[in-house]
Amino acid sequence: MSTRSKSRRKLRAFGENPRGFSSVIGAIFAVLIMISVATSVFMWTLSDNTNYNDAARQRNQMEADRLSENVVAANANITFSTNQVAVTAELTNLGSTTASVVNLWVTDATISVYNNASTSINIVLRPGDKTVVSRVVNIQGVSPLDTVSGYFVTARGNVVPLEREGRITVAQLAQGIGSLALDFYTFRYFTYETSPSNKLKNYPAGNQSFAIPHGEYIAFGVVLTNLDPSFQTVTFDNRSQVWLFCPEALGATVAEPTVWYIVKEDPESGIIQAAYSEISIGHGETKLVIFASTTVGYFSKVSLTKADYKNKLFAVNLMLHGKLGTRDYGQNIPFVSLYCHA
Amino acid sequence: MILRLRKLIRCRRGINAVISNVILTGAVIAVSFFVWNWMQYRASDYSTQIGSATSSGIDKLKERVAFEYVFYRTAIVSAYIMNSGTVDNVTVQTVYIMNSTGAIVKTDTNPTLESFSGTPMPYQDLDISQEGRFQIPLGSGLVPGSYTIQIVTGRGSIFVNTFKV
Repeated sequence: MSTRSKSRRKLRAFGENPRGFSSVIGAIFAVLIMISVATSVFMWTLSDNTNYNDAARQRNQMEADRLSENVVAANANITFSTNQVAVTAELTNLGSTTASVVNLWVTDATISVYNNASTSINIVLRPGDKTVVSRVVNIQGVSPLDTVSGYFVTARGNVVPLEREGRITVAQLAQGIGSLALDFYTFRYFTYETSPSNKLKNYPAGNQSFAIPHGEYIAFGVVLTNLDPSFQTVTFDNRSQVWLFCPEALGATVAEPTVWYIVKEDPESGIIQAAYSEISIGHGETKLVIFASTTVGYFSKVSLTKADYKNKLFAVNLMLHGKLGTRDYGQNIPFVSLYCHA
Repeated sequence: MILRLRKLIRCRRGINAVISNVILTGAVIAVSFFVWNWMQYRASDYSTQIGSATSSGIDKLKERVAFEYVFYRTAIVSAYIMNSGTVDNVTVQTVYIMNSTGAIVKTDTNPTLESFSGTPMPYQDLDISQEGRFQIPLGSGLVPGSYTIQIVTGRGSIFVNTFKV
């Protein structure tokens, strides 16, 4: 008997006695349900897994791009004006991906003030691109002698430090004219207390003015900063002095003392010591130095008493002498003018 | 076949068995459809949950916060951040400040996000490339040293930066 006729007989028998037909239908449905549900869940899982893998790949790519980003801010120049810092830098993209620079931060470490560029920066640099960027950042109370640094921020969150900061720029300027910088704006003179008579009045603030009284004992205070490029300490000897020159009184001048030698004062009380002992300024240090004596090495008061000096203008020169490290050092700083009023 | 049917109607023998089989088969089909629908619903629900979890994980992967500046002054830590990732709506859930030994100095939840100019962010979140800041008052000053600020976002990502006091 062939297989075909066997099947036909079985089918006929099932048709004559269809017991268990519902079970077959149920089984078919059960299989269909299982296949349908399993397929849909499998497809969903596969789809989500693909999405997740895609996101993970993007994240890895993003991190790789961030790490390979290489922007350099070279030749940075920081210039100062009232409550403002102007930064100019040459941005170069040395990396292999396009970089976008979005912000500039500037910090004044001396007065602990920081700020960012108020106008948004949106500079896109393709690999190899180079551009010069200039931005002004408001820093309340900034001074040219402060230590100022800054950096750019890229859209990927990387930081690009300025490769030269304000202090270094000033120091390079100092290399041309000398290692000591005079703070022009804080030039001051002092008068004396009546008792003790060697005590500076209103010390250390003094009188920040470019007009001095005639016929009164005065001393001068100058704020000096050591910007020596070789990072040496400078020490002043007793011949360092401030001297005044009045072109309008030429010929009338006889023996009027116009020299104020360096003195050493007590930093707490402002009382000038009888004998001078050496004053030093370390690299990066700023110090108020007093010039008050008519005698080298010892304190004796000075005043402008000659009548010809009234209502005249004086050129002020600061002559500094001593040691820079172990070497001899001398520097003459001009720039201040004083008016002697009656 | 027609003859057989006529014979069956005429004789009516075994009709009970036929009717019972038809009813049983119908019931099985009905129950099967019900079970099918229910399973489809459950599978769809499960897929939605899995999809939501995956989507959340993907957003978390895409999230990235860059610290532009962290500054400490007068017992206040100011952090300037930027959304440098590729997903919007980044929120700052919790902020931890830790000292160099890892001890938590300060914990703050849901700090107020402000623009750099100090205006509160309308939705308290950062979209792509958006910058913002928040301030953490410490109550007492920090001793000089190195500190770590750690932020946990609403999606659970963690970002860390170090600052000096």
